[in-house]
Amino acid sequence: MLFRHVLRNAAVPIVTVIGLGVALLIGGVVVTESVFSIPGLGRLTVDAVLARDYPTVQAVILLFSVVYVLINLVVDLSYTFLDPRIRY
Amino acid sequence: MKAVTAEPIASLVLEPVAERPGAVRRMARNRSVVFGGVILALVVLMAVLAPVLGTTDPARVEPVLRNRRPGVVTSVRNADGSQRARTHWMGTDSLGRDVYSRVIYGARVSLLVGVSVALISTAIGLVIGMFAGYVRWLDEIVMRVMDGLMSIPAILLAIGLVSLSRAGLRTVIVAIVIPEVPRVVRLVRSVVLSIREEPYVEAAVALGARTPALLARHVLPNTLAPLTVQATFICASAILVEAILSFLGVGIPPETPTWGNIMAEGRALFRVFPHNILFPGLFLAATVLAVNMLGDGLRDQLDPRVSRRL
Repeated sequence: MLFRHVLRNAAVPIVTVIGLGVALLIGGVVVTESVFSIPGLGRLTVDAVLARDYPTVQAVILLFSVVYVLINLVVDLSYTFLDPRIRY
Repeated sequence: MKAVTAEPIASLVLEPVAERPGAVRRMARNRSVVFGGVILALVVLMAVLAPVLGTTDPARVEPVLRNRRPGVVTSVRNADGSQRARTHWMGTDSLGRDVYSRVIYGARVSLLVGVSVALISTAIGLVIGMFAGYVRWLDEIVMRVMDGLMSIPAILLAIGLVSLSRAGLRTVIVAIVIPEVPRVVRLVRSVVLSIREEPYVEAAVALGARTPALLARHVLPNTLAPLTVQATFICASAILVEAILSFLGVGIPPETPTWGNIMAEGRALFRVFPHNILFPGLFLAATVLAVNMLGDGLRDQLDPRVSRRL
């Protein structure tokens, strides 16, 4: 009952929050990778800033933004599946 | 006889209408406003009184006293040769600087960044938002630019902006202000869009009020309540972002004591000497919590519609 009827109706706000949470995650990735020295995109960003490597900074920020926008697009599109009343 | 005549006269005296409790009184009754306000006031007091709180020069390096645990007592030689005991309440960092002094002085930077970012970004956002909401043809252009800015995660945009110029307090403030502006603009625009349909705005237009005067006199006052609430949340997030930038080493130069810088300093040895991370972290958490609680309480009082919905 809970899963069929409650979760289906509660899904839209949950998915919205997930989409917004991605922005926080991307910020968190930068910090976490620096702290635990994981060689990922977050570390790359910080290293590029410290080295004044502007092309890399631009590229990483563009990449992260594209990912963020795409995820929010997916979130918006998923509304139609979660709630058939919503149409675009 | 006298008492009988006196009675109706007394009842004729108008009872003072039960006044609505004033704004300040109502605020004072809200528990989270009081709690947040008191903690915040303590932190502000601490920052202002930093030189008299038994601190030493927060930038003084003493290589002999590296990495001491909290509470260690050391002796300092005065200029006249006499010895004087000094307690490092929060230990010392890996360069022998007193963490207590650095944390106290660090409060200044954090509060300065938080308050100035909140003020600047609400001021800029207010102006842009009012024109975007009121002048129809500007709306589309401005809002698309703002959407573009919002599509970049705030911390990343701040890091990118910091890299554009020399690291320093002003750069950090600007770098945190720019990602916050679109959020303020959206808020102000949404308020303005509903206000501009109000009859009193139509009346003002009919009476020949010019647009800037109209915005300042009739639209601006309505935006102040939600804007105050938003400003406190911006202040809290600005303090956090400043700490993150300093922690990553891209913010304020490391010799300046800020909470983020102290934590960055202690990062390498935090398994052995956790006090370098613990104390600035505690102060940071307490301050951000206080500002957020203040904001929550203010929202409950100033914007009852939203608080009831939550």
